[in-house]
Amino acid sequence: MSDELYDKWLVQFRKGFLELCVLRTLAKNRSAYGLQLLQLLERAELEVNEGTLYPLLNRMHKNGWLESSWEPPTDGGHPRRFYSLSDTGQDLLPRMLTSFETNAHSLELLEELT
Amino acid sequence: MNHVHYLSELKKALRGIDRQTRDDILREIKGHLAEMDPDASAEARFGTPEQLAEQYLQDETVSPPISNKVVSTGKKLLVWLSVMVTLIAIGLLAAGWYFSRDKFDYADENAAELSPTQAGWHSTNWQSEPAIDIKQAHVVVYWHEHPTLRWNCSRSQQFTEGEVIRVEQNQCLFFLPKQFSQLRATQANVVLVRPNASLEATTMQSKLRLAIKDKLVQIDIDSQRSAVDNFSAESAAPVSLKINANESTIQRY
Repeated sequence: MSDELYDKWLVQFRKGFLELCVLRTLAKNRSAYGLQLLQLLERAELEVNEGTLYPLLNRMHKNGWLESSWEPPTDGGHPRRFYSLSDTGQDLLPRMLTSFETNAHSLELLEELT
Repeated sequence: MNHVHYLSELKKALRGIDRQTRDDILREIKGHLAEMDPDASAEARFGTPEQLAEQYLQDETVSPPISNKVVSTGKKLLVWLSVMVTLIAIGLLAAGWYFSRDKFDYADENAAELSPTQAGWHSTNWQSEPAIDIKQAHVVVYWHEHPTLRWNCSRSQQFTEGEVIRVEQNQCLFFLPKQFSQLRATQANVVLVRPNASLEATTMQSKLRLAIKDKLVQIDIDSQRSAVDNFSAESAAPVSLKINANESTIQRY
């Protein structure tokens, strides 16, 4: 039961955190398609699977944080959907980073105070 | 589940999302699956098609399926409407029957409505042979032995001896002298109660009902496009009733 509760919390926590990570990644890499993003996040030791990432990208695109375009691969094969930050996403990122750092700092303070 | 089957199931599970978004999702997942090992499990990475679709559906405006509550409410409404329509129909039929039925048993010559003491009755001497012309009226005709014309009409009417008795858009009860022999009815409702003298009747788009005793009346009906009850032919009957019916109904009362 405790694992189930933890999993639920983790899902909620990771939703917002992953959005921040995607925005951060695309700010650095200008644009990337789903599999690329997945590989980049995994290299950052984030446990993400496709079933989480693609719906997340869809939501962020719907929210207007990301732009997307279909591009044919240079080596042939299926078209890939590339994502990049929209203007809204670019405005959001620094505010989200600040908020994250503030909260992380609060957690550290709590650690010291208790 | 192979990748093709996975995509097929995913497409079903994405029912309700707008087509463009659904196509983009399927296209993107298909592209990713194409870059995976074909033997690799799509479910292991994406979850079941239903689980993956649920993730997408959380964020999408889905065409709302009609909820059970709406269906249930709709069904109840339909049942109530059907009941109401049925009740209204029954009510209308009952009203139609009530208002179209006879005011009393016309064949009962002892009915209170026929008593001369009842209000509305008029009488005048009548020696000549009366002919009656009925148009769009409801008339009940009785015979009596007196040389008088007696009548009771819902709208006041006067009749002059020697002239044709014309009844139009009215409701009348008549007691006619025995020598009455001609009747013409046009779009009328007429009841003849036990004629005791021979009569020729011509009807056009009318309903003629006969309260008679078969052995006493010989009925001869010439009908065109009419509905006629069976009347037995009594050639020895003292009274002859000849009816020329056009688009009419001739019935027993």
